[in-house]
Amino acid sequence: MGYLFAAYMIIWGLIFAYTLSLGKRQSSLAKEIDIISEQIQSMESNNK
Amino acid sequence: MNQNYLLGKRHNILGWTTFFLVCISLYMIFIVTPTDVRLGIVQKIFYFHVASAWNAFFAFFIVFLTSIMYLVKRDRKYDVIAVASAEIGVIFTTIVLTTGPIWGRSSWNAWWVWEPRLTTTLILWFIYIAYIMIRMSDMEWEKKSRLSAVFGIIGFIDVPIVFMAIRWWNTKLHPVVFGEGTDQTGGGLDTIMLYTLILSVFTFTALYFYLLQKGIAIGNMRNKVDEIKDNFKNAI
Amino acid sequence: MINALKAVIWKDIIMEYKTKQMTSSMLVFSGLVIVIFGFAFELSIEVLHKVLPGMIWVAMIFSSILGLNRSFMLEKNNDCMQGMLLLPCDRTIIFLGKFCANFLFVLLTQIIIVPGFFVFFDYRFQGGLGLLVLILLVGTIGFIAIGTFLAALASNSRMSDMLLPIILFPITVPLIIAGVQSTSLIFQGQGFDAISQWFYLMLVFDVIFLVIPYMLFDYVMEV
Repeated sequence: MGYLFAAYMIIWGLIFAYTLSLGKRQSSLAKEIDIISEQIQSMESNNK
Repeated sequence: MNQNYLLGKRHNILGWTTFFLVCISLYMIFIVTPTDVRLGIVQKIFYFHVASAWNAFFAFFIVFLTSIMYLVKRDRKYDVIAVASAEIGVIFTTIVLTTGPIWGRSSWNAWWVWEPRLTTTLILWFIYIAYIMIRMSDMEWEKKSRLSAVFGIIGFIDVPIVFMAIRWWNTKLHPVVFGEGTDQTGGGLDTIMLYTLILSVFTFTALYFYLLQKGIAIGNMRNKVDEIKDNFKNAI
Repeated sequence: MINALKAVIWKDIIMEYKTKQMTSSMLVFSGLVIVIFGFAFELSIEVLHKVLPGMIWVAMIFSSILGLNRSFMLEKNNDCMQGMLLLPCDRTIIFLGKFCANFLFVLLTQIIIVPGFFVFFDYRFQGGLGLLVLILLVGTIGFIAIGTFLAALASNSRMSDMLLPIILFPITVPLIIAGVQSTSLIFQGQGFDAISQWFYLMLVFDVIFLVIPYMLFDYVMEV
């Protein structure tokens, strides 16, 4: 029974960890987008 | 570049579908199917173990197809699909390689058996880790995509040869009746177990497509952000 | 076309003849492998009987990696690869040429090392010598074929010498299994019938992994 529990924990643990990593990638990309848009805006305001 | 990185309604529907399939599968596995007489309750690992294995193979087949398409059409969307699929394939293969020994330990008191399918899965794992390492290496994206596509083709072609070689090797060294134990189909599968197995496989297929959509969206987003950064640098 | 092929092979041979880099390091490395195996395992005659086939193949594989790494690293220095790509011929000639040259160097190494194994471990080889040579040849051809191709692929990255073993070994697992098993059978004195299965597997491997790289080499070599 313990083995069964361990196996299922591993299966869903791995899937969950992968989904989390996908989520992390997504939020870091979103942050990058924010930084770039800030820079663009500050450049535009400087040019004006 | 008309890359789609927005995950709309269909993605959410797929997500909920996957969730419900998982719930139904778990119900079938734990409540409906009888405990196997010989192997005991640990046998229930088998449903997701096999589901994971088949879908890993499917994922790698998709890598193979999209690698060919990329080399022929040079459309970056194929490359994005290939990477996402390879990653999911590695995750599923890892699941197979970890649940296999757990089953082995409880059933035959051996953490690892050099059994054909498990050993082939191990080599498969290494091949696609190699694919991911090529992608992680330091090159321009065009080169990276091209070279990993080439390796994606070579890796997949190798798989049947690996399987044959390991099977012959195994029958000469360990002429044991492990084949029956690992997938149960030799020992006569109860119909209810068969249905549960098929359901589990489809559940994992839904999970595969759900994770694939996420992976594709992230890949496209990554490419778009890089493109914006390059344009930005050039504009300065 | 044949002339271009000869030119590529000859270039590698001349370079090797002058510097003797590749073959010497492969020889020394294989020799060290013999010594290390001598220390690593308690080699009574029964153990030796079982383990020697594997050791021969391990030595071949690891020393070939050295050679393959070197083979394309040389081209990356001074952009020699660009020069070769300007050859007015099919680019796959480069692949075939490199394959032939690498195969030659590994063969030379093996001719010295395999008897070396027998000498150092005092092993009386009773078995079909012709069969042993055949199996080693077919196995080496396959390994060097896909090895040359993947070395070209890996050479594009900066961590090429770390990448090559990682991408090469999983692919060549069938070859290693077939090689060790058939060599093992040959040591036990079996004839061709016993090893025919493995021999045909290696042959199929060789054909597939000469043809597919031939078709895909252009994609690897794009500038």
